[in-house]
Amino acid sequence: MAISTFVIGMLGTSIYQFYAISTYGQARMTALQDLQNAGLWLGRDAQEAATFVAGSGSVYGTFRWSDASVEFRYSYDSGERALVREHLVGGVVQSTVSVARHIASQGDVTFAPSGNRVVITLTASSGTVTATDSLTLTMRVP
Amino acid sequence: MLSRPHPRYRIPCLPRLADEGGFSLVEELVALAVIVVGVAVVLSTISTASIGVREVDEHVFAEDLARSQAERIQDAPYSPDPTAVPYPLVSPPAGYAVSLGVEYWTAPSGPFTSTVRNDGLQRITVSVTHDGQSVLSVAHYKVNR
Repeated sequence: MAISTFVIGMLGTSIYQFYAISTYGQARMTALQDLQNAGLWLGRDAQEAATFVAGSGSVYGTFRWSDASVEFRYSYDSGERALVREHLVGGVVQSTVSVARHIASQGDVTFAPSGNRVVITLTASSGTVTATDSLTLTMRVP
Repeated sequence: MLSRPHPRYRIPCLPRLADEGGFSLVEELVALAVIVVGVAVVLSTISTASIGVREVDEHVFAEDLARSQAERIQDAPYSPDPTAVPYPLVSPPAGYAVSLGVEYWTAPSGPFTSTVRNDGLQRITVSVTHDGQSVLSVAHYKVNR
């Protein structure tokens, strides 16, 4: 009886831990992947840009080339709960991509320009897991 | 010589059935060992998965931290002697720390040296630690231009 109780207890604990940790790990990885992906896109666009123009409404702002021919506009899609990047040439959208999903609200992403730098803060939420990261980017083109 | 128990003290018992053999102690122990090994494997898997998540976690934050630090240096004016006029540092999140290592180019053909000199090129290594453990190091170059 004691052995059976011990074994059943161990099995129950193992199954619960397996479920709980797997769920947490999956959610954490999802949130981290969003932060990582957004960081790669933002870093790429900032390095090509000369200026960052703050936006309004659901638009956070736009990285703009020195001749303004090419722009990368970042906005919040409340339906998809995603940070969306649009590539514009001459004001016409060429492509749209969600660079981070699991953004619970528009305020979970902030762009704070300061001179040649932009400090971006992102918070991704998946399940009960939340991951926040801050990224400082410098626009390289004079 | 064994004597037969008195009929009054004889324990009544049912006739033994064919499938009422039960398990021996050895069988129980073998079954227990198999279950313990199985549980150990599951727990080991959980532990490995947890370590994996933590490693990814550290790397994502450390990469962004190192990149942010490199961008801050790129944005700062060239410092001929960072020991006297250090480059700005980012504010890392709790548990993380950032440190810089600067090497100086020896014109015209190198090498990089740790002795401060001003030949217009520096190799700057950004190192990120988490809870005192090294996570990653990234080297980049700062040019006086």
